[in-house]
Amino acid sequence: MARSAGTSGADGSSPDKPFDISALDAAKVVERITGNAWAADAEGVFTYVTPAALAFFGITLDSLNATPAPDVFGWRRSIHPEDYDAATAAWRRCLETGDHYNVEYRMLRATGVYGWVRSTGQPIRDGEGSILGWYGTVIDADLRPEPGERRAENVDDHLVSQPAQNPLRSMGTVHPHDRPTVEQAAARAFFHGIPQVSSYRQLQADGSYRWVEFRVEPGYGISVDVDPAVARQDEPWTIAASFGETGDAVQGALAIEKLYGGAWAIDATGQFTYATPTAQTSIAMTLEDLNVLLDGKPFLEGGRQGWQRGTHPDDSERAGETLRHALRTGEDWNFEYRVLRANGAFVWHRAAARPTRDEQGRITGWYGTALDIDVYKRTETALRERERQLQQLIDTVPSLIWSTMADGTPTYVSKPFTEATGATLEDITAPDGSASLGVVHPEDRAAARDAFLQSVETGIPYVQRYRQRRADGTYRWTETRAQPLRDEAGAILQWYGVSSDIHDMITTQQALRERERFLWQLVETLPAMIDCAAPDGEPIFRSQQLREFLGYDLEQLDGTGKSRLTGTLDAGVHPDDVAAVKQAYARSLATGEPYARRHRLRRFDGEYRWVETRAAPMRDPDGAIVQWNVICLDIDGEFKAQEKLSQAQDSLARANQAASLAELSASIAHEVNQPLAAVMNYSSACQRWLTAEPPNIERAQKTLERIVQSADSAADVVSRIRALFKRSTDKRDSTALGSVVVEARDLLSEEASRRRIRMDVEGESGLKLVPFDRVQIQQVLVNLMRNGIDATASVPDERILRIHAYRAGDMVKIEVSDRGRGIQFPDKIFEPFFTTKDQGMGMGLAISRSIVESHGGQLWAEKNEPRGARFIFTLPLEMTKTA
Amino acid sequence: MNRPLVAIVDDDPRVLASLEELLESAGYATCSFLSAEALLAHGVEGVEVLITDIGMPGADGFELRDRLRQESPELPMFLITGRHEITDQGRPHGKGGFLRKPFDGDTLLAALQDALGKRQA
Repeated sequence: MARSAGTSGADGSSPDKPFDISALDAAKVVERITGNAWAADAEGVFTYVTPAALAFFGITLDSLNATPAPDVFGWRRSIHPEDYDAATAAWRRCLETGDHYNVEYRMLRATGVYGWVRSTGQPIRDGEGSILGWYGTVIDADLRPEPGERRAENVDDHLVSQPAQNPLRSMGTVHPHDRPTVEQAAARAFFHGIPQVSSYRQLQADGSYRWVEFRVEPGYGISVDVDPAVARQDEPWTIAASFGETGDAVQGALAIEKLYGGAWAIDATGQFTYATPTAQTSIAMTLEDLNVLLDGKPFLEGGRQGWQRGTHPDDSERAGETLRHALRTGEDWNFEYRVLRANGAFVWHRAAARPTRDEQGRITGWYGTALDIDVYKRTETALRERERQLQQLIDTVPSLIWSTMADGTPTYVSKPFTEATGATLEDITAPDGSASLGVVHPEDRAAARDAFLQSVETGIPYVQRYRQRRADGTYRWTETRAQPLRDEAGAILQWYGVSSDIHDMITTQQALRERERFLWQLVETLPAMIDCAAPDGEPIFRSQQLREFLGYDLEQLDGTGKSRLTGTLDAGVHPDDVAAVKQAYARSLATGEPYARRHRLRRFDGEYRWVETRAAPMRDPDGAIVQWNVICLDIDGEFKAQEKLSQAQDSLARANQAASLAELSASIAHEVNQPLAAVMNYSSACQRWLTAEPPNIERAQKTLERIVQSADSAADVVSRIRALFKRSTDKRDSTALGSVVVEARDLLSEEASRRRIRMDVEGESGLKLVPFDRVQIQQVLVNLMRNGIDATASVPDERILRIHAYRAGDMVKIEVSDRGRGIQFPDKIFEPFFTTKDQGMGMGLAISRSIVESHGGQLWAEKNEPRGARFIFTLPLEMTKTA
Repeated sequence: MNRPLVAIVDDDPRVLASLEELLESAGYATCSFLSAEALLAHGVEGVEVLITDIGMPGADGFELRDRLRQESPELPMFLITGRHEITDQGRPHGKGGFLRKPFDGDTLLAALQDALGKRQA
């Protein structure tokens, strides 16, 4: 059993042993060993395929034998298109030549996935050597150290040139320059157990060389030229003198040997009756070596047998026990163990043995083989290690990773996935095996499921955003992406998915969107027309209010040959305003200065309405203008109201002026008419005194005196009025108010003291008026102060007149307060005809008011507290312009 | 000789004095008042004609006329004004009339005589 099974059984080194067995029988024997087998007639028509294999590959015997087209095999659809040609060529050649069939190709499974297989076949011949039929098996060869490196090849291709010869029997056919390459390849194959593919220049019959490709299997006979340790080839020790009852078993072994290059037969006690010659093995042992009882005890009774020395110490006991158990019970023997190579290395093998029985069902012997699975084992270990590392990697990556089968059935979730979501693989798998999407927010689940099923169906990568539940029950926005893993033929094997937490990003985006929506609404609902323009002034956005005002959309300006700005201005701005507006725009655009202007703008209904437009540039951190923001307000109502108000003020001012003038002239007329009326009355009286009978000369003289007095009085009035209205020859100046007040007080101080009235003057210093006519203002002051003195003179005590000047806003207020009897009719005192005085023409507060108003101030009267009257007038202060 | 009594009201004493002189020269007896209130306080007992200025502090000539009209509807009253518009707009109520300053003394006397004559008749 220490035979490692070489693969090239067609090297011709072992003599064909004719035995009476049909292809179907041979296939059944093989099937018992490898689990599947096939039989075909001499023409290659399949007569039997293990049912399990048919099911595995999703084929039927009929479909295999069908001829969809001339020269096309029915099994074409089961072979990978890239491999089909090579496989059929080899098969046709073997059918013709009877050569051993040994081909690797990718074969389509019922699952829709291609898998690598090795298909081997062997002819059954009759006594004359004619081929009666074929039997063979298909071995799953998908145990590749490096997936993807293998390509379909006919490993017997190197036999084509020399079908009857072992091409590597001698290094003589190898070009001398290529011999080291071949030797090294053989050595690598032998020592490492990895098949080697290489090429060399082969000597042809005509003496020329041509390149050929070859493959060296582990343990293959080329080693005789490489390793002297296994030099005993073709030693005829391997067949027992007598097969005993094991004839059937030996026949089985021979059938297996044809396929795998190595096989053996034992009797019911475990004694070897046949073993494949050791020419291709690594351990030199004779049949006796194999059978020797190491501790003098029969094998079945627990003794150790010679072959066990060729096994790894750790596997030896177990190998013995399991075989012993099989021998006792008749159960199939399957065991994996390490075989000792001649170089001291242990190589993994998988051994299998099946019993043969006589007609009574009694076991007559066993046949079996051992396949070198070292590559597989080491690959498996390496894969397991890689898988472990990958697992570690996946579990370390802070992403939620999962995978499903091609149909979406969950197969894996990473540790972080379970930690984050609290959900295990079971939790995300629905009872029917599909993805439950249990961690997806209920509101998002249907959409996620639809998208995932769509991806599973179409193979389009899956991308979905949804809220994913966390272990604490909260939900976080997650983006899940999944990609399908495909085999070489493009069929989906798995889906790999990763879920990334994008909650912060989503919530930030939502906040931004909300803010943008808010700003947008703000712009669109502000009761103003908003416009945004590029740095060159071209409008790029208009708010709804502006669009509605204009009655057209921005896009409608395009294609007119004018820029949008010019188009808007030409179409909208009033013809009288458009030139100035354009000029102002151009200036702002050129200088970056803010723009502000009022003009008429045409509304959608054709009405021109006054608008106020203001624009300011928006700049980037470097100060470059990136946009102009424009606001436009419809001020038509206000503008027209303002216009009306201004007109009203003008007319009011004119009316006031006229009214003042009328009042003034009425006052003057009154003042003059009084003495004039007296003159006329006296004149009439005088005439009557003179014309009386007798004439009253005395009264006439008295009356004449009074006429003179009255006429003087009238002249006095006129001269005083003239003085009052004498335009000051001085220009208005900016004399300090204080000095004017003091002068007025000085003018009246003699009169005041004579009438025992005290005058208190107080005022803020430095009150500077806009230039004024000092004479006129002095006259106003004198008038008011004299009025005050007259009023004060009528009361017995508190005979005080107070003059106070102070600042009030941008005006100065001058108050003249007395403590007299007060004003009985404050609203009438400025009217003409109105006087309370016995003496004087009471020149008129009307005149004083006229003077004050002509200076931009006002004059009015109030009641003084606790008694008396207060006359107040204002004058504008000179504003400093530095502000 | 029983001279008719004329009451004169004017806030300007110069005008008041000149009117007294004129009326006396025409043979009327006068009583003068510087305000409407002063006249009302004194009463119009024996007064046959009233002459009053219109523009006066306190009750003016119109007010005085309206008040006297209640108790003495037959008393002729003459209102003196310096303003044209008042004479234009105001219609004479009852006996008397408006006189615009400055007026001719003869005109006043003629009007007085006219009013008194009607009354006596």
